Amino acid sequence: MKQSMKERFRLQTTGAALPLIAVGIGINLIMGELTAVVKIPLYLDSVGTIFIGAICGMYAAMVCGLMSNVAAGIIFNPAMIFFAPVSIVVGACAGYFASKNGFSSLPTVIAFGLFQGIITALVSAPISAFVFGGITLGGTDFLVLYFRAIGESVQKSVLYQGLASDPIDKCVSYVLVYFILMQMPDSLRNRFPQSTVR
Amino acid sequence: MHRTLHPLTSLCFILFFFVIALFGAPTTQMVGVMILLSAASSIRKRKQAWKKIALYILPIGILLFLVNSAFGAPFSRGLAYALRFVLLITPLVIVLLGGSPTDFRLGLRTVPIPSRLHYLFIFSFEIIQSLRDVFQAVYIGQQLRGYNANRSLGNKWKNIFPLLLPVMLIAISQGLDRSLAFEFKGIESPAEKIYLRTLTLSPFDKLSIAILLLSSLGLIVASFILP
Repeated sequence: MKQSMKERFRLQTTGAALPLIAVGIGINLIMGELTAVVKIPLYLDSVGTIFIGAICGMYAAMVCGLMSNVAAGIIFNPAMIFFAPVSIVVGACAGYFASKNGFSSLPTVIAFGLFQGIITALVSAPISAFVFGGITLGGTDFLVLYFRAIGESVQKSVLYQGLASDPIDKCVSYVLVYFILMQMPDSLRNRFPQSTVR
Repeated sequence: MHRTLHPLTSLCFILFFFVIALFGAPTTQMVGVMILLSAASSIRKRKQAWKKIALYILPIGILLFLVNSAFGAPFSRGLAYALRFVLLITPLVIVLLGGSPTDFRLGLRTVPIPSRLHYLFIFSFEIIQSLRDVFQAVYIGQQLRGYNANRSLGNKWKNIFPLLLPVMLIAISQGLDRSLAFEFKGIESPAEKIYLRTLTLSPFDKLSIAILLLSSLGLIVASFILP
């Protein structure tokens, strides 16, 4: 029987899924510390959201993405709250991808990660351009300044910067989640009734 | 700002400055920045607020002004970007540092959201600290086993797994334990919960909300009517 959207939302944000969404939020937030330790120039702040999308479903991942940005806004940087729509989109895409059995092979995961990066760049560019004018005090500001210097508008500069960095970030995030899912013991994986990965 | 504000009043405060940022004329925006700076001086954690303003908001504001005034653009364009950024971010800093997590928890109870989402909000804050501790423990444990993050660029991504995988498995295990306790306690019960303490809207809160909402509406209308 086909479930309504409200029913699916309720099912995915209750019971075993609820504490896991909190775990996903926690993972999103500690990825900053991990990337600092490993010294890789990526954010990887959606690994938790993508993981929740794979094991709990689309709505759970969307809630995880939204709450991650709210929590990051409260704990780290208030500006993160403005990027909540980006995390919601990442959650929706990850959940949809998992529901189509996308996490079954590595090439598909890499391809979808790149595609997800393009979508993320398209969603985050207007926010970044409008709120920050393209300056976020991050390493990618140099790319924005380069595009501005060659005569592009703020919106286009931010979009090009996003298209240059987001696909790599999201691709690595998807690949990480793929390997984590592969390494997860079956006994643990089978405990999630909404899991789309078998 | 020293008294406990209801979270709804804080939200209206943020909304008011968002409206100024989006619909206000440059002079209104400058007045808004002045009000925000004086509000930042009157909150309990004023030192932290000023530190945030000096180290984060001000540098980005100056950079926005410089970058958007450069490349042949008019001076006013850079100023508009800088003012908008300050007006969008500073209210969030003031509200977050002006209130306490307890206020937010109490305030959440009066907002009609499902109890499970309320629980999720509180648990996610609890688990962040716990995961940080787990991460530090795993990192030290892996270092003792000979883990070295400073390898070649090609191997860097492989270095993520010895840290990420144990942290995730421990976190999932903790989450599943919680879910068992969660279901056992019957969080999904349809009966309405009774709390010992909740925040109610005081007359001051009601008046503040009314003034802030009316001012916001007035600004929006004025931005369409005035040239």
